[in-house]
Amino acid sequence: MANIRVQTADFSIGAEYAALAAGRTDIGGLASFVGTVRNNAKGRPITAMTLEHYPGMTEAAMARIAAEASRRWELLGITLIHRVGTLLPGDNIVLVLAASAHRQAALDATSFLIDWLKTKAPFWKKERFLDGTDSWVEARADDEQAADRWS
Amino acid sequence: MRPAGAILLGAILFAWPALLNGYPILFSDTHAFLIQAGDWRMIWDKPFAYGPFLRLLHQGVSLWGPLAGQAVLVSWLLARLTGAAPIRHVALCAALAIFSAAPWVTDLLMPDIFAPITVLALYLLATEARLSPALLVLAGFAIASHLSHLVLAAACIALLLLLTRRWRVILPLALALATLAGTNLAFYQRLAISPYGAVFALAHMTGDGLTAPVLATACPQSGWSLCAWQDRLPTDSDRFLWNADGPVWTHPGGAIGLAPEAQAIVTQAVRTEPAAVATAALSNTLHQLTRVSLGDTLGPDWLEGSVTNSLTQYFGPGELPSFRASRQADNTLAAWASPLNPLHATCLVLGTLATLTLAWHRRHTNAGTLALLILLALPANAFATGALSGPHDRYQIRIAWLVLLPGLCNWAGAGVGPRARPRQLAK
Repeated sequence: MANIRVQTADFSIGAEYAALAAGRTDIGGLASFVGTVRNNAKGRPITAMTLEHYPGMTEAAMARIAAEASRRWELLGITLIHRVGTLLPGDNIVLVLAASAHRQAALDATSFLIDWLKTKAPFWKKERFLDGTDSWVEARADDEQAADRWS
Repeated sequence: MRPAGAILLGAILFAWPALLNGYPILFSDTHAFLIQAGDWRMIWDKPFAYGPFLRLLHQGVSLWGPLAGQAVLVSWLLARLTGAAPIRHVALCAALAIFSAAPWVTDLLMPDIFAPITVLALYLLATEARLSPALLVLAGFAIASHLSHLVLAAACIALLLLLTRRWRVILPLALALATLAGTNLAFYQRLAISPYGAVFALAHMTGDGLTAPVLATACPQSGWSLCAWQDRLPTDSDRFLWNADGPVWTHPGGAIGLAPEAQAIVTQAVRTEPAAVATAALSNTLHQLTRVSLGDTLGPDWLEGSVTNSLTQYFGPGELPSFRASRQADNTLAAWASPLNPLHATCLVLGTLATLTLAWHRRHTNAGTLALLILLALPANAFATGALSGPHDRYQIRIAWLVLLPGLCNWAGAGVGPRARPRQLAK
């Protein structure tokens, strides 16, 4: 049921929405989340973000997260798309779509999916700063807390 | 029968496991290679070589293309090696198809088949009268296709230089090194052969208990992230590398971020515990030498969500259903292969005895050179994989079948090399 992709190319939320809803009349609510590259990290300007992953393992982790969402809510469709490679401020990073018969399930599932994607799917992010230096993005406590609220 | 027809027939014989399966045999890493050239991007632990090879031959149409390419390459190389008459070539291919794992390795869409191709192509480069550009490119590509092939090639080249004094055998290794350094420079802006390979060495050395003493001495003043794992280091290298809660995945930079630290720890372990490192390497090499069973790449493990995504993304709508209809996807392929293991093991023992005999009795001829080369290539491959990464059946099965070649060539009355001649012994 879940459409899971890791790709370098950008995605179109409209096209993905249309693909998920195509031919379906049982969907009552379709919620979405799009993550984009911020132009600063704690106020420090960044010029680019590079995302790395491990093919196969990462998709498997995403599939487990989608399966967990499907176990918790009655969903009619899930789309998870995560981009990798070098992205610029303003670029799309991640798309989460969750479809359900009722809005609350779709909204909650979308929130759950992005919280767990942030903490349980192996993506490694390196930020490049305006001064030419770069550093790996450490796990953030607030991301962990957001994920923990679904435990 | 025409020679081209014999090569084609030989290739079909090598394709029998895929035909039985209903699809080429895949491994979860096949997905990474498909991405490599599908998206034109680097995967941190894989040389940028085999992915473009797959892309060149599948063209977004079908993975049967790369399979056909690999089968024809192996058949062509064997024909060139033996110079046998067409019918004898077909007989030799049939024997290998039945009595060895060669067709199973050929039909796996991974760089594994390029390990034996490295050995055979280097042998031909050293023994043929003229330098063949095709062989040079093939050998260079084969070496570049997997990092373990660098060690294998270095060992083979050293022996061939000693025996034949043909310096041109160095050229493919130079070509491979230039390819690896060039692609790492282009993608990662790092002039390195394997920028992040130390992570694998760290994983297996940790599994062997070799890094704990280093951490005990260096932590916490070193500031290494692994210090936090000092009391709970995974004892299995695969868990170290691939567990979602393990030291690699939880590092902010994953394997890439951990690599500098891994390099420092590995270097320190080798420097302070050379005897223990050597003993572990020897033990793993010997263990790897005996791991030659079919099976560990024949199931559907990890294929769903990995290669199934690639088949959807890079191919037409018919490709994924073709894979899903295969015995591998259905988890029944291994049951067809496992009865062959006792037969293959027996043949490997007999082949080793024949190769040892030929290495001694034909030591002044090309046949003796080939036998010696294969006898060296097997432990070299076991060291490059078992000692540097960790023993797995897949690593040794890819090359062990070469030990059948000298005896089969002798049985088929074929030479080894189109101009089989007494070898000029090195002075």
